[in-house]
Amino acid sequence: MRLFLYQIAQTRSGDKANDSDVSLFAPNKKIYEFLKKNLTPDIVKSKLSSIVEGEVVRFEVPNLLALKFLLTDALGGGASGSLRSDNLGKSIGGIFSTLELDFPEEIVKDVKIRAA
Amino acid sequence: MSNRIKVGAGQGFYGDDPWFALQSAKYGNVDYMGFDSLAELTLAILEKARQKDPNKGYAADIITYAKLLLPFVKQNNLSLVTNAGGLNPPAAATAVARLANEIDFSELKIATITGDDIKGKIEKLRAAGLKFENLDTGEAMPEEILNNIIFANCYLGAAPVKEALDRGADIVVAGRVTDPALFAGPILSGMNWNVDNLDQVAFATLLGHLLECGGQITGGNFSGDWESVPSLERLGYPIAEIYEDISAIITKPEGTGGLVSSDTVKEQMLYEIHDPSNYIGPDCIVDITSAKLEDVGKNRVKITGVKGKKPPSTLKALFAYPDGYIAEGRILYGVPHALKKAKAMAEIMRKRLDILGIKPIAYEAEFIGGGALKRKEPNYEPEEILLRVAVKVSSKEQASQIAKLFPAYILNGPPGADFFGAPPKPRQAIGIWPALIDRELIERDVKVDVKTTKEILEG
Repeated sequence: MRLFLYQIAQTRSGDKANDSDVSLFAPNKKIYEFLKKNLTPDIVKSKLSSIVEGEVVRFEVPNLLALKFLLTDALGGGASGSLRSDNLGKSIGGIFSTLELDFPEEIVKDVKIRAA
Repeated sequence: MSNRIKVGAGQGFYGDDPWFALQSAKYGNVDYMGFDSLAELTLAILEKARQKDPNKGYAADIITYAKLLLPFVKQNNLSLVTNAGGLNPPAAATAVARLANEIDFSELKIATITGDDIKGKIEKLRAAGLKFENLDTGEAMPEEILNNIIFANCYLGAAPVKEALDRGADIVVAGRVTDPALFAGPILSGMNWNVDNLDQVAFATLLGHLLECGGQITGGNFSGDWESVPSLERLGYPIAEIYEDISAIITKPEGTGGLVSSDTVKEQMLYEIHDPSNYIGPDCIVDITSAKLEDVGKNRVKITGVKGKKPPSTLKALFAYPDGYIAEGRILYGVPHALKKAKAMAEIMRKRLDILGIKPIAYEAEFIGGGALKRKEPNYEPEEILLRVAVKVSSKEQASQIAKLFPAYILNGPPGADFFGAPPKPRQAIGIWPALIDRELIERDVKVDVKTTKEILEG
């Protein structure tokens, strides 16, 4: 089943100097494992290539069924000197969550799927 | 097990709305509240204010909050911790003392924490051999930056905040302490926990991190089922109930809107912390990867299982330096071809700057409504586009000159342009140079001073 990440997962993003970080939360363990397998730093970087100039580093947080992506050089210079409207990276999580993936039916059948 | 103390969030950032703090003071039955008033830009403004008047240099928010909350400090034994002292905590304490005096609260004890502001001892530190290598690049601080420091502050931790409260302070006025320390200090003091007990201090730090952004944990900025979060118009700010067995409940005041669930809490838990197994602070390194969240009731989430590791031998310092000025202009375009017109105007403005001999350090044209946040063009024709041009230049005069170029192009540019209000005032861009400094060099000058209103006003 083809879904946007925001239909089944939560995201939040913020800033630290010129980096942004994005957290992604899966609703259950199977989906967490699926996302872990499919959302490599390269895939995240290519989804956000117009925003992120530097590398993407991934952290796994299995106790919260979460993946965390550190996006380096992503805010046009950092909050106090950036020319961007989103100088704090608040919208990046939402943009990331418009990534589409093909989820196996059996792992999404029991979770609430939000409207596209 | 009965809960020992309740700690509430009062302010998430400079300019926050104090109505939310008032709800927690009135209906939250809190023992302590923490207030975050500082950002880099705020400190730069405070430094300018301090240069003009040595009695200034603190965040003005403290006056608003003190007026509202001093009656609760007097009647309910509420204690407040704030970083609004900015670059001048003693001056902020005097301002609070004057307000306390107006309500005959002479026994109020106000603590100040100083020693985070290291601008005055940069030379001394350099003489001791420090090069202030950039934390990200490793580069030694160049002379050009050294000679133009706007402000320089080290992040202090919860220890001095705890000390102030242990010594009986009702209000703690700090400068640059970490945001979590504004809450971890009260938790450690109120629970009689030890700053050297790594699991206690890590737990207090994580709770501080959960509380530091106000409504972001109680249903604000919630990416889950946000449409069903009740009554954001009367959102409740978070309250942590802390228990002796190193567990806590995150909740919010009775009767307020918003939502506390493991889904809202986990979003804040990982927010802006980078490596979740090594969340570095001055008091400890927190490992969040063992934390456990459990929904234990309506708007009640239990937290356990946080681990602490030894803190680093260094403290993080931020050195701010002038990095030019930013001018902005905005013009709104309608159909047909709104995006095309806005793009044409962005180019016209670039050429206009050429004619005037202005060479921008950076130039950014955003097409709001047309993919500005994604930084990608949409594949459809938008109904309207707000062109936003932001230009960074080296001088304030040039920035003012640029801002004045936009209004004329309502008539002189592509058709159907709408005046979208006067351009914002140019602002200074601040460069931030992060570096680590041996903590002993800083901590020996950290002072916690506790005085009554009377002592402050008569001193």
